[in-house]
Amino acid sequence: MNGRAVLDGGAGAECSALIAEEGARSGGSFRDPAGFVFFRGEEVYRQVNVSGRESYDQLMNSGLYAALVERRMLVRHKEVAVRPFDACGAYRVLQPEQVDFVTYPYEWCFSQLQDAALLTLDAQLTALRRNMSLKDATAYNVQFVHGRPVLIDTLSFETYEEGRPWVAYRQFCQHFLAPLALMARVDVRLNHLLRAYIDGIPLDFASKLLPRGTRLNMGLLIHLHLHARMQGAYASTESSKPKRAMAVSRNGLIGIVQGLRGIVSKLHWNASGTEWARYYRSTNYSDASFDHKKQLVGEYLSQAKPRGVWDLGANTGVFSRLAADAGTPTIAFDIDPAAVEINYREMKRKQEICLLPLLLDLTNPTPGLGWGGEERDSLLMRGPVDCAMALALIHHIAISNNVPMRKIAALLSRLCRTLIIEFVPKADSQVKRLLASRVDIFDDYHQAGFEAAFAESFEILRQEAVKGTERTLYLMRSRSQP
Amino acid sequence: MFKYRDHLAAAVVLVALSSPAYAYIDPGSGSMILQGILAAVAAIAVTAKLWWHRLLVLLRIRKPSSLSSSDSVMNGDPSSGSHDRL
Repeated sequence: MNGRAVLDGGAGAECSALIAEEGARSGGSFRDPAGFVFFRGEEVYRQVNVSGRESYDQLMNSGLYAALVERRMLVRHKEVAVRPFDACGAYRVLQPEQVDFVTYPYEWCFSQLQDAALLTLDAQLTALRRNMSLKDATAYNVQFVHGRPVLIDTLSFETYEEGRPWVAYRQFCQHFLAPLALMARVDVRLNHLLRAYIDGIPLDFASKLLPRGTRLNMGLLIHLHLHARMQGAYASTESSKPKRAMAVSRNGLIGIVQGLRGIVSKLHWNASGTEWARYYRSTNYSDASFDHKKQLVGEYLSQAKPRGVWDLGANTGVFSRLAADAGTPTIAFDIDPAAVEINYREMKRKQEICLLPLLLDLTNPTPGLGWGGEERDSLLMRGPVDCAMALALIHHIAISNNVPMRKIAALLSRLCRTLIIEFVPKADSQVKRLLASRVDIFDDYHQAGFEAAFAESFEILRQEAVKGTERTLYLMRSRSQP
Repeated sequence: MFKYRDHLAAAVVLVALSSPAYAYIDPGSGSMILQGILAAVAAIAVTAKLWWHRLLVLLRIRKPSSLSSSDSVMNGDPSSGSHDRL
């Protein structure tokens, strides 16, 4: 290990004087006494406390860290000789490889949550073979890096003691099994429950929502329905604090984890039948117009040379790939779970490392959540991005959602430095379709009105008509972002 | 069937004994007890499978193979999925 920082644990009265308190502690890193994440300058660090020393040393010395990192299951880190954030009780400071863009389970499609669940179980099985065990199993410990789910909490591993049950079993069921079962067997939109319940979906709630037929599935019967009943039975009695916990043999525990793995991998959601998944097939674009639009977007991207792209309303990611294929880290946001699912599966199949499909409703973007609203960042806090793309999007926001164009421009100017945006006029058949069933109250919705509304927040750098369509593609620069 | 009772007794003892675990999250009493039951059932299933295999070997229906020790459960690849599942 290079630059290992050996720190005095600090004791008693000296502690207060040693507190460095330089930088900022992560708002979402305070539950585990073994350590926490802090930011200093542009860098992210993880402080290991003395109370996490034994487990951390075992992780590093048992070969588990090397095994997990080699299989790209755990984020790589190095021990660094920088001052700890809180010198009192500090043992080591780690510098993990940074994650480009932090995402949350309520922004993932079905397969992303499933892959994160399988990663967690595989990490637990790998850990058990080296006498360690995951002490937590939250979906927030998983991030997508270069197209793959990776565990980011180095301090999640603790020494395994023969006979001990898996302390994170309930958390795993709440964070992964319950939402996956609900998405697969009831409705894929139930992933939104993860936004309401920060520590996973309560099992009694999941059990109540799942159809009766799921009781015929042995895995779901045991791990969700029976599990919920057991929790209820032991929640309010004296036995809720047993002096002796149940013993679980090592082989029994491995059997349980492998069983969970089988149940999770058999859950399936068929991404079809939603409005948007078939969008490209039903648009009014001719092949020539589509190619021209692609060419223009490619040119604008070359001109903007962004370090990162957010494609807002990306559908299955056709235009996102113009940026991602050129090596630009690109997030393909869409409101439709089927579009994101199809995009993610294609990303996996092609092993694309610069693309990340994510769920987002731009009319109600991810808010800050958890304690003080600061544990999980809002979308806006995770921005701004160098370049946003809003292709064939504005009519859905302005007309379907009645958002005035000035407000659209103001929000986009907070999200990005440069903007590639397509204006779709009322003469376009897609807009006609949106207006077919409602009164047209959108007097300002025309190209001149669009340019006037956006001129307040953006400087227009370039504009071109898309051949064979009524649409215009703009390249703009935000006035409020440096 | 004396041996079978031994294994069953061992499973019951395992269910009943253990020290409380240190954990920064609440593992949940119901969740701990459910795991104890599941693990005991898994242990019985593994034992039954071993004996069934031995019986078949004894009757010369099956040849002796790697399924001769419960240790095999420990040596598998995490994703191979070849073991008893609950």
